[in-house]
Parts: sequence; C-alpha cells; structure tokens
Amino acid sequence: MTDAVRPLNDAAERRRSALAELADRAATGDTEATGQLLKALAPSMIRSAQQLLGASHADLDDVVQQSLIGLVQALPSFRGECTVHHFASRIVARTAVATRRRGHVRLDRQDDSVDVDSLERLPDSNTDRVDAERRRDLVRNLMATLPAEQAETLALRIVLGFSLEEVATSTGVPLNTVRSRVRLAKTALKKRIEADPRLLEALEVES
Amino acid sequence: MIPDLHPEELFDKAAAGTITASEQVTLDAHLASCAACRFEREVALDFAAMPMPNLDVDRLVSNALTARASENLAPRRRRLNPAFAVAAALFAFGSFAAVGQWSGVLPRLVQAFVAPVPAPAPTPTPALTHPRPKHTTVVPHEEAEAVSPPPVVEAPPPPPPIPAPMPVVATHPSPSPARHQVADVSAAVPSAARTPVAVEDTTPPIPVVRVATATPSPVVAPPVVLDAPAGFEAANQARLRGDHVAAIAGYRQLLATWPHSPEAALTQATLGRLLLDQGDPVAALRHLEAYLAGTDLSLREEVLSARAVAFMHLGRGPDEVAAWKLLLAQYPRSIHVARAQARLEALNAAP
Repeated sequence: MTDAVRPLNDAAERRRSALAELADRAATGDTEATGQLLKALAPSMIRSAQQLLGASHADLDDVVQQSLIGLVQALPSFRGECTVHHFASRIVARTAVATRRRGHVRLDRQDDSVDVDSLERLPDSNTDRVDAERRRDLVRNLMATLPAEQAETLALRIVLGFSLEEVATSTGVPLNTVRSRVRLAKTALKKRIEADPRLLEALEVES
Repeated sequence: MIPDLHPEELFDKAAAGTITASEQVTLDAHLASCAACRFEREVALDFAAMPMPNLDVDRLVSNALTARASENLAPRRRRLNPAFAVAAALFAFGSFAAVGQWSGVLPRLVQAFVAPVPAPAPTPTPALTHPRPKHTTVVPHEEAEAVSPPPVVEAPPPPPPIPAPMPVVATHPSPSPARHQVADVSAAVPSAARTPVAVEDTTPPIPVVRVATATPSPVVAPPVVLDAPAGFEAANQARLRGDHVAAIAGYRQLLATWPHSPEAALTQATLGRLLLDQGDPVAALRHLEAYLAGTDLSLREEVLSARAVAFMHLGRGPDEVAAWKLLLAQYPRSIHVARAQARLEALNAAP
C-alpha cells in the first residue's frame, strides 16, 4: 500500500467503525443513534435505489422509505459479517428487486424511467446517454425476470458494484454459491443480449 | 458464441487495482471474446455515472423514525398465528356442526344451502351472543377491498357452552396474502357445510334456529371485531405498503373509536405526519398539536419538526420560528438541527 493511499483507507476504516458503533447502539433502540445512522446511510441508499429502479421511477421514494424502515427493523439481526453500508445496500437491493418484479408486467409495456419525448429531442451527441439508459434498462428488466436470489446477486454485483466476496458476506451465502448465481445470471444476460440485435451490434460480438 | 465461464475474480482485482500484468492480459483476452462481460463492464460504468436523485433525506429519515416508534408498540399485541386461526376455525365449525346436528340447526342449514330460496330482506340477529360491529355486511371480495377500512384479523371467541350459533372466524377480506389464508378458511366453511347432505329435518325449529336460518349466510358472514391495537397495526400496514388513503382512514377510525387508547397518541403523530406528506398541513397541524398536548414523548422530537414544517407550508412565519426554536431548545442534538437553523436563518433574513 502506498503512503498516499493509506490515509484514505484509514479514514474509510474510521468511518466504517463509526457506522458499526452507531448500528450497535441503534439495534438496542437508541433513537438518537438510529437517526444518525439513517442520516449517514440514506444518501447511499437513495443512490442505490435510483440505480436499481431508474431515476424517475414512480416507486423510488417508496422504496427508499421501505428500505430505511427495513434497515431499522433488521439492525438487531446485524452481526457485523459485512459492513453496515453493504448491509444497507442489500436491503435496498431486495426491496428494489421485489418492487421491480411486482411491476414487471406493467414495465414490460411501459418504462417510467425513460421520457420518450425527451429522448426524441436529444441531439446526436447524446446518443451515448440513450444507449447507456438502454443498457441499464436491460439489466433492470432482467432482474425482474430472474429467480430472486440471482436477481439480488445481479443487483449487488453489476448495479451496485460489489465484489464476489462482498456479495457473499452481505448475503450470507458461500462464495461458490455466489459464483454459481453470477454465472446463471450472466447466462440469462447473454440470452438477452443475443436477442437484441442493436446491442449485439454495439458490442461487436464475435460469433 | 459467447462463452459461459467468466473470470469474476479478475474483474474484482481490476476494480480493486490489484491485478497483475499477466492477469490483465488474461482478462483482456476474455473481454475480447465475451460480449456478456463487455456488456457488464460497460453497464457498471453506466450505473456508476448516474446522477444523485433529489430526494428529501430529512423527510425520509424522519418518516422511518416515526414508523419505528409506531411499530415499537405493535409487538405488545399478541399476533394471531395463522395455524391457530385455522385450528380455531375448524374447532368452532366442528362445535357448531355437532351442536347444530343435535339441535336441528344443521339440517336446516344444509337444506338452505342445497336448495337455496330467495333471500329475505336482511334482518337483525338478536340471538348472537356477541355484538355485531358496523361492517358485518357480506360484500364481494373486490367490493370489500374498495369500501372497507384496513383489514383486521382477530382471534375467534371461545365457543360458549350453550347451543348458540357462533361466528366461525372473525376475519375481514383483505388484500394481503397472509390474511387471505385465514379468510379462505371461512370461505371454505360453506362448502364443508354442504358435505353432510341428505339429512332429514324432523326436529321442530327452535327460535334461535329460525334466526340463523332466516339469513342464508350466517356461517359465511364474518363479523369484524376491531380493537385499537388491531386498527393501529392495520393502518400501519396500509401506510407501509403505500396505501395512504386506507392508512388515513384507518388512523381516523382509530381516533374516533378509541380516542383514549395508548395507540391514539401515536396515531395523532403518525396521522399528522402522513397528512403533512400528503399536502394537507392544516389537518396535519391539528393532529400534531393533539399529540403534543398528550403525555407521550416518544415521537415528540419528530412531531415538533413536522409541526414547524406545517407552519412553513402555511406561511405562518412567527409560528414556524417559535416551533423551530422549541425543537432546538428541547432537542439540541436532534437530526433536524441543520434544517431548523437553516429555516431560522431564512426567516430572520426576511423583512
């Protein structure tokens, strides 16, 4: 580790410890600690929910709200196997995936996160943005159709950027199970990509 | 063809910056041939590049704390085990069937179900040993969902020693799957009642029997027995699933029916907050101040904050200033301090 990186890691470690301590106090019913913990975690939870659902999804606010409440309810079961941040992210992922699955039928016909009018007005220089949204939607829609465990793994791994080990510790399953779920999710992802000629072309698949 | 095996560990190492040169070569070679992994890499960057949404963190945190405080009260109420409900329903039905057979009620009921006659006008059922609450009208499930207050499941009362018809399960049709389970039991009872057919009714009718048979659905009609904890929990559930209309109706019903119950205080706070979020600061203020007038302190900090926000929405500057100052004085370490100070500064700057 370089000297430049060490202070950053130390700061991150201190922050993790502070959150863990807050979580311990909150788990015992300390209202002040609960408030501080939620305030500290809420921005990242909001961001995770937005990534999983889309920026203008109608249920974004509700999912964040449910996740915050779910976090408070789940704190007594938190044993510190993963960071508080990952614990919170997993709760958001589960809530968002469940919401996405409930709305799957509707979302098959209509995607709230894409404003068609605004897309039509986009100049050519913004086609990257459209493509990015298209890719994100493919993953989100895939999550709504996969089995719950695979969808959660996909959400944590691809959308929220967890490592394999982080997925394993935060979901409490063996690393090999995570590998298996990622593989299955990617197989499904592959089928989706292969069914989308535009994506195939964009990715320049060598068949 | 896209390969199915992907070097996930190498992706992690690349993300952590710990990948070696030889591993990087392996990873690049895989990426060159695997569209799924290329896609994954690209979409991960897409997700990371999303801008932060503009949600009100204070409001969300405050709501979560309110919900937590509300739910702290809920576990005091003994929850009805679905298995117990089923067993109790079967026991109650068994008792009813045995007594009915003995007294001649059942043959008449069977007759009523096997050869239904046009239903007479609904008549009161004075012979029931338990008072019937308001919502005893049998309505189709969908209609019940539309018109009923939040659903509540209650334990069936114990069977009395005398041969009087008993409500089988005190349930109310509910949209939640867990409650469907119990509701389905009562829905299944009529078909069970049809099973022992071909029983001749030779016994003369007893007055209480006539009351039961006069209404063709005494076994189906599930009287709803509400109490304050049940109403509170049902309204909370409605709120948590986002059904704010049902939640508000449930909280209001609780306040109207059990204004002095322990749940009423928390209901004032929760309903006030909910109405505030729904854009009704006038009604919200009424409930928030009702809470503050009580003795419960568990939500005082949140309610003081919500009250100040309500004043803000109403444009009542001096009241808002006083409300924020009260909050700061009583809760100097509140999570609302920053907001309170910001608002006070803004209001002081105003002419």
